[in-house]
Amino acid sequence: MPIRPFSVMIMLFVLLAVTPCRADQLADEAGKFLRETIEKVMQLLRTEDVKTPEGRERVMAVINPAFDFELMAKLTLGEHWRRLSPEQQKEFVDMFVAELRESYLDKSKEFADSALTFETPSTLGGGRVQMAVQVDSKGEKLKTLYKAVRRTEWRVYDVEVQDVSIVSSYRSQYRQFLNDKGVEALLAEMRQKRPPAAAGAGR
Amino acid sequence: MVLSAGLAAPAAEPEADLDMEALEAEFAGAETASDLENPKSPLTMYNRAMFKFNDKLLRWVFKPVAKGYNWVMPRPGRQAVQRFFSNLGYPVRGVNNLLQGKFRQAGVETARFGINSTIGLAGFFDPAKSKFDLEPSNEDFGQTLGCYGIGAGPYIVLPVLGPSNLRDTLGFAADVAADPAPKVAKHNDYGREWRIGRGFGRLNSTSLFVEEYEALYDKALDPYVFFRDAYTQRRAAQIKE
Repeated sequence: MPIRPFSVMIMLFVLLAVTPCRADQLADEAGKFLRETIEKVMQLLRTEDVKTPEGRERVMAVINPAFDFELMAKLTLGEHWRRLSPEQQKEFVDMFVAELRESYLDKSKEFADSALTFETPSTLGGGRVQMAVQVDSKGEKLKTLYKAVRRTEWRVYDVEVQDVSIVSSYRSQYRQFLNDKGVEALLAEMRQKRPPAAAGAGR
Repeated sequence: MVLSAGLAAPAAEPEADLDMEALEAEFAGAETASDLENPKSPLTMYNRAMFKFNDKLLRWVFKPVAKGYNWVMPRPGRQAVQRFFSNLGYPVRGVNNLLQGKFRQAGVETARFGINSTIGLAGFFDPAKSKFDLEPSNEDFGQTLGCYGIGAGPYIVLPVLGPSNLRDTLGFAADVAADPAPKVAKHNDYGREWRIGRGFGRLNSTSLFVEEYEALYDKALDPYVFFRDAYTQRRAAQIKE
């Protein structure tokens, strides 16, 4: 009889020790990756001159491996992706990735001096994790949300700014464009919108 | 460790390790909210025309005026004016919080109004947030209707006011009707002053977002669809909160 409460305690202890389940671990891992990446990018942006190609390259060297730009490109096309020829796919991905990379860098630069608050990450299923990051820029609060997926390394596949998802907003534009005008017209439009050959240099 | 991957990322990573179905579904799901539009439907044609009109109005009329205004009024001043008008919006926000059963937020809004109207010098400052950590909650009647399960309906671009949908247009009309500020002003024979003040408030808020708007517009592949989708996504998120 006197042993009973003790064994119950041991059982509880064992249970508690086991509870940090896989989902939490996944979220923690992704949270750590996101936090480190974002802080590193912000820190670099405070010191590097992004108007020079060299400075830009150094920031890009941190952004590039952390993002899965190709996956983002595919997600923005959705079911249309498979309808593109391999050449069209390649051209699309190249132009999309180039644009997204530059625009992420430019947008982040604006908030380099902001205070960041990282919230608790949560899992979305299928190896996906999201984490909200509050950006406090000169008294104005901006809500961002990073979404990452587990591959060999963690990779960001979408960012939301004030509830607007980057992938979704490209996706709806491409969908409407493809529906109205077709693939060739889309590629032609993207070629035209593309910054001059000196992409990467200060614009 | 992440750095080592560098620029020369492998050209084609196979997606075998990914749950592509879940990823596809995550973004395909959003499309029910912002669906394809038939470019030849009368509503789409009206919307696109009105979107263009609003854009020109902003660039050719409001922006030059706002630029002059920016020159005489520095940003902190403009933010203060914005806070003043936002503070006056308390009754509508409070009512909509109550209608959505957000009693705590309604209380917070009431406290914010009390604090900011007094020590916040008629709302020009926001000590409720900076000193008391009371965050504002932007609730309107469109969100209340959404909260009751009423769908957005078709997307509509309103003259001057911009992106909306059927539900939010009705909601906006209700908010305007419920706003006591113009009635109080009129009752005290300040109707004209109120209208001038209101116009000034509009100019002020325009001056705060016009540059960002232009940057987003100029970068978008199809600005009309970009703003349509951004509006739809944002409203859906606000209603979910």
